[in-house]
Amino acid sequence: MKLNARLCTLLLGIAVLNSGTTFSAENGGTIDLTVTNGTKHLKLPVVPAEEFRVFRTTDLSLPFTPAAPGTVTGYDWLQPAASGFEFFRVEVQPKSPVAVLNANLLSKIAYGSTPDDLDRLAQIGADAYIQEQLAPETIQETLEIDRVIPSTGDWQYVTTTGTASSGSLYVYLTQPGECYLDDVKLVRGAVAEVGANVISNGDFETGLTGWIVDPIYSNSVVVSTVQHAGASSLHIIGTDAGSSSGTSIRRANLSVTQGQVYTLSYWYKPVTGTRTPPLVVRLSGDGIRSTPGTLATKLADGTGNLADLTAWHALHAVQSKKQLQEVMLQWLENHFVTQQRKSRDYFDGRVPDDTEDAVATNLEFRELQHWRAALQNPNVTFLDLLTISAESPAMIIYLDTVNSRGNGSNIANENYAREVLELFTYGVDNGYDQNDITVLSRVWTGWSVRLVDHTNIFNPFAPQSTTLLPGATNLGRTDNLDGVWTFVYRPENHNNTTKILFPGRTVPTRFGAPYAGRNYEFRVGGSAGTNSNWQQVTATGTATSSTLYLYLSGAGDCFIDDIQIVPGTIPGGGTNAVRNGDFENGITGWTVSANLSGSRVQNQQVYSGSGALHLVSTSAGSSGSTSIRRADLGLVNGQPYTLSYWFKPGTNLNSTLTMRLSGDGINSTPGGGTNSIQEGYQVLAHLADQPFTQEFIAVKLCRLFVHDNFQVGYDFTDPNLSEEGKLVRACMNAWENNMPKGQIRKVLAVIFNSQLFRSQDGTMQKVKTPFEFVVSAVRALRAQMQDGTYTADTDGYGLVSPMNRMGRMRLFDREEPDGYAESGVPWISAGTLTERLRFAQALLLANGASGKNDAANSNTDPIRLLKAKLPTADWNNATAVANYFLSILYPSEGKANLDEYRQLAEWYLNTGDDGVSQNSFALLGNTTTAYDTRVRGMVAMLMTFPRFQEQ
Amino acid sequence: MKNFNILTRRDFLSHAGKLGIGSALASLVDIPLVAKRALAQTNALGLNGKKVLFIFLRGANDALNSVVPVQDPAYYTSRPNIAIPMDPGANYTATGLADFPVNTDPNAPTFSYPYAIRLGNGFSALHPSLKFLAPLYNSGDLALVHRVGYPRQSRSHFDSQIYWENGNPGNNVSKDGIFYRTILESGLANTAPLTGVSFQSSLPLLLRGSQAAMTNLSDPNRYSLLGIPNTTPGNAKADAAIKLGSGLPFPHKLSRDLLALQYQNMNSTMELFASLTANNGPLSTAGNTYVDDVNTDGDTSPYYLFPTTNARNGGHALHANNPAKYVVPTSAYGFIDDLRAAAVVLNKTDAIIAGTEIGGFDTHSNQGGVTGSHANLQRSIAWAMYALKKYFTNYSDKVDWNDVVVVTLSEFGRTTIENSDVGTDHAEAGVMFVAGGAVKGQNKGNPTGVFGGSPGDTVPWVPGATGSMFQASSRYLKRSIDFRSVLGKVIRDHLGATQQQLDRIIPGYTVPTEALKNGGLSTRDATQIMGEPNIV
Repeated sequence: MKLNARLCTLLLGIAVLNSGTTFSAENGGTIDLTVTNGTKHLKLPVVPAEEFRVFRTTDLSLPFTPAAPGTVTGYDWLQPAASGFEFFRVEVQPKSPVAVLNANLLSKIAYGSTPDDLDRLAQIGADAYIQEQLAPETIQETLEIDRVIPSTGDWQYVTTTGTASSGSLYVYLTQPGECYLDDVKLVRGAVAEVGANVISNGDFETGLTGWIVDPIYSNSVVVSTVQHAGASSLHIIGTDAGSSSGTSIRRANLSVTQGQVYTLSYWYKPVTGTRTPPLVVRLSGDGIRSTPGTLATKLADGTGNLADLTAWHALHAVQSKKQLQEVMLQWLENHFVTQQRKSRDYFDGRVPDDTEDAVATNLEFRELQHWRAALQNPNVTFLDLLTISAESPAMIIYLDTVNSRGNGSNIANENYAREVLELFTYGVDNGYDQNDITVLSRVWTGWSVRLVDHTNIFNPFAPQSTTLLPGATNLGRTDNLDGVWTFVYRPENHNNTTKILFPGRTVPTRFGAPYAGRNYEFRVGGSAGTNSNWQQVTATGTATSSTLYLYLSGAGDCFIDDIQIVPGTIPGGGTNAVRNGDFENGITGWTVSANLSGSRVQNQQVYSGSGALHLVSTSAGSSGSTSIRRADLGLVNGQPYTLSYWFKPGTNLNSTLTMRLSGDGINSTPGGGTNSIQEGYQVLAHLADQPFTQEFIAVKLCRLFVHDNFQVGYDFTDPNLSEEGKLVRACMNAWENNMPKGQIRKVLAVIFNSQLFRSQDGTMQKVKTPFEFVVSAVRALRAQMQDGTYTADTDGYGLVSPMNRMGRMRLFDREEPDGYAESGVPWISAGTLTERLRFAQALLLANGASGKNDAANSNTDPIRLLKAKLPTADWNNATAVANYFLSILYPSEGKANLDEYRQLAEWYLNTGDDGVSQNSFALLGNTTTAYDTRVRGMVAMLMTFPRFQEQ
Repeated sequence: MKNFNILTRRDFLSHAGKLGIGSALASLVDIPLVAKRALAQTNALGLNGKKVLFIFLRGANDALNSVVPVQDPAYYTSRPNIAIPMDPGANYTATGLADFPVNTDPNAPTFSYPYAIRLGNGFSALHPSLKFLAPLYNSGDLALVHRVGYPRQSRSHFDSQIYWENGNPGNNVSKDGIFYRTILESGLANTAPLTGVSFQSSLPLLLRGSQAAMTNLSDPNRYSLLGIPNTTPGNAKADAAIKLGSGLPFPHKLSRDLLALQYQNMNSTMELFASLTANNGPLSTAGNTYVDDVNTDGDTSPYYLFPTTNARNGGHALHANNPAKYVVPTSAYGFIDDLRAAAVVLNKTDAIIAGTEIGGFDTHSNQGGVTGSHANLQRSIAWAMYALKKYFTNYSDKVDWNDVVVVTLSEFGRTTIENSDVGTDHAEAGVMFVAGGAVKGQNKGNPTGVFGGSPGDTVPWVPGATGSMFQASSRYLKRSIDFRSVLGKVIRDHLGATQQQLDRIIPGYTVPTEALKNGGLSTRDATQIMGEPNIV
């Protein structure tokens, strides 16, 4: 039902005195009007509404006038019956479109609203917010979670405040390794080093007294040569990864009061180098947990593991003002999905033991940071983002390109070729077939990874690192070497044939102008080249004969000029052994087989001089009897020679040129070599802006930002194209008509300005993914207080397990290449809903309460929030408190639609913990536990409703 | 205080009717199973009262030390340190019932028999840790399906587990699981409260897919909500509020029907679980009182069926806390608890498929022989089967032992020849254990309960140094049965799928070149296979 009009007449009913007869409305359908026991009962329509207004008249020739108030509860209007005929009309006052749009923006281009965002958006307006979010580079923000502490190798101070969760303290490294530790202190309160230190001998002045050292740390010693203060410090030496009791250096039975605030502090120092050690100091139960160097430092150093990256990513989603950027980063991560675990498997044996997680995580982190950087560019295109994914070692490993070979008789792995079409660009069954996948798979052969020196991180031709790790000796094993794993190109694995993609294919008519009928065939590599210019081809090898063969792998033609074979390894660097290699003397000296008898030396297409060979083949050649050849080179077998020639594709070249010595000592086809890396980039550029890609990506973005009912396959020429189809088309137009093509911001702007996005059609039509659910739950109650603290917060780590339980959503670690679903069906079952509800409830539980583990280290304080936002007089007003939380949890809903929720919330506030007894909220002391419990319970209740699953 | 309009059953069904799913719901929600069967009047998949319980043995079980080819001399020459010796007093070529080495002395260790247990098929034998499989074998309730695999076997755990779970060998991008598709084909996936359920850390690919969410419970005891305060009345208050609030009318939203349906499912399932847990109910930890109906293993009392504590583990408590009287290793308690939950859910609810997993089978080093790490792991398999038979027989509710087929999966077998670390590496064909009252084992439709494990098979086990154990390459047992034929047989002939449904559940099932149904040449890797074993 469309409710664009500010005031909408919906229905008309006639009540007949005391009879219960109902009549139908003249527009907008019917409503029930019943009269029983002297009461009129009007069933109000369940439509988006701020307010329902009831009008009456006794005679249709007279105007309607407001009915006497009656009683409205939910969708029921009741009034004592009067005598005589009455006609009723109900008017629906919709919620203000501005408020709806603001709510839509925060639920879609942000990870849900925060109380502060709602206030801010009401001030600056939707359009300003959209502009700002589309240009994240203009948003000034410095987040603590992004702070990288440049390590100097000197002593560093660390302090963390938290709530004591136990009396057991664990110290360990998450990887084998070592560092120094000194002056460990744990004091009551939020100020470091003020008050009694509950850790005796935390300064290691009396050796290891009081400390329990588990076996993997048995090499650790207290040393007097290095110390922060006093005479000694602890030199931690771990042979394996630590994690808790049994694999740590630890204290038991510390005299702490559980549930109270304590502050931990200590000093640490790397043993060698400046890299921050992967040190953890924490209480059992994680009430206080400290890892030096900040999350960002660990991730930048390459020591962070998957949990660190997930937490960091989630914290950005919770905290960052650049909300759209975070939404887009998650979308990119999920669209170009990779699996951290697959990289971990790959690195097993290739990196030092127990560092697989960190090395694999680093690939995911770098990929994410590349996208983040790209999104700062106002003109960033889909091709830019696609290219980052293609070059990401995580992707190269995930979809098996890493070992794919197409040289010789090797058959390339099709995995990436399939998914780049099916999932990353065109969409399934949209413009390609199996043959295209097979051909495309050859393009990616050679795209691989290698451990290189840090300075070579962006050099795809870099050799393997030769820097040994401390204590390592074997240069032949990558787990002995220092460096960084990065994308490299291995031309020796590449398939150098000509690849013809989408042969003869044209864009289907359903795409309409300007796309329909476009030929999108694409030739790349081998003898096809990518342009029709002359190109030089070189190959070095060892002479096996003095006979040179030229032939094509099938029918076709091409041009050849200036063939040289010289001693040594430098093209043209010596006396040419190929007489008349420049075809200045016609075909003299060359023997031409029958299948090449159409070949001519001509002067229209030459590289230099006045003659070049136009090689024309009717069928495949292979050697002496099917080639153009000469056998008088006079080479010395076993000696090195270099072949070079100039090559230009012909008009009908579907096959590959081979030029080789008999015996294959030198064997050359155009293409190959380091230049063949370009084939991949050229293919990406071709795929990125095809209408299939435009459509598929536009559909996915519309599903992300509007609702799930967008499909690939619209007939864009249909005059009755749906609103959804029209929006997809508008996105495609923005993609196609701006230069460069494929600018993401242009496409997003179309969506955000569309009526589908801005109206009720785009309101709460989608189900949150587990990630969106946990992040939005924290944000919903997160307001900044005057002292800079927040009324809701999380450490990020505590969101990992809940997301897993809500349907196995493991960020950066999806098994299947289709990414996590946007639609609700795969996420919502009885079991996963239970997990969602438990999370919301645990989130609202006070810290330390039983059941809190379901939302560990994620805390909310709705009482502090309401006291900051409501006047003191309302703190014990159940209606005011209920309305406030309804307004921040369900900001897009009209008051009338929330009426029954408000009643339920008030019932909750006014009912004892037994769920039965009346217990007035107004009479609760607003600093009591009972008040705290009542408010938390009510807010948790609202967040467990289906309504909060939607966005 | 107003009376809230709770979405009534009638409202709910009429609501669901608009979604086109009302009919399935109407036949499934809140109707006693007997009536439902009558209502359904069908043998249809999901409605015929038949169920499957799966156990995935992660890490690749060493099949050759489970069902041991004692009459293949190459077995002993290949495994000098880890082979299971033959009992000098037993005739392994004789046919008939299997031996069941029950202890005659109640004080003797549970696993005191140190030899391969004679199976009576004249060729193969059981690892002694599998002794509790013997009674199932002898009653014909057990099929040991040997030499199972799939074409072009991957030796990566990662890929091979995907293939076993998606039923689509060679396709590691297929996104849904074989049991997920089974339930989807039943048409119940998005209508019945609980259809497929797993009890493990997270939902396995077997049950994952894009058109419906199955249920995984990482802890069978956490299927309830919290209140604030998190007390019994506090929880009740929260539950009541959620039931009221989730049924309130609301302007239509695209996802609301789905949410309404699944909230309803959640509420029904939670009530079901609550009733199963309340008052020391069958699913509660305290309700885990299931015991054998006979004095187990020659001991003086029946053993507990689902040992999750030392005190309930075999004859431990009966014999002065003697660890030698355990029936499963103490490390298996988590697995046993999950197994129990899967069994109870199948027995007490309308779930069709339930299961769990047990890890640790990647025995590259020091795997042991008669005793050791692999022996310990196998004790859990055998006891699980034994306990499930007793549970579904003695405590039968919605289903009994004849309605349930228990099936194990494992991604591949291990190398024929032991390695220098006295372990075994990744290889090809493995073994599946299939148990149930409906299984056609020894003397129950088949002369033997061993399939694919003897020289008399259609694709015979060829003994010797160039025989079956070395045919896939020098160290790999070659498959003679595709695992899809085993699962396909169970899904069609037990769960009631039609052949057409099965063709969708297992893609390519009747493609002649796959030879899954009738056997023949599997052309993908030119291997003769036997087709469906006649196990149910």
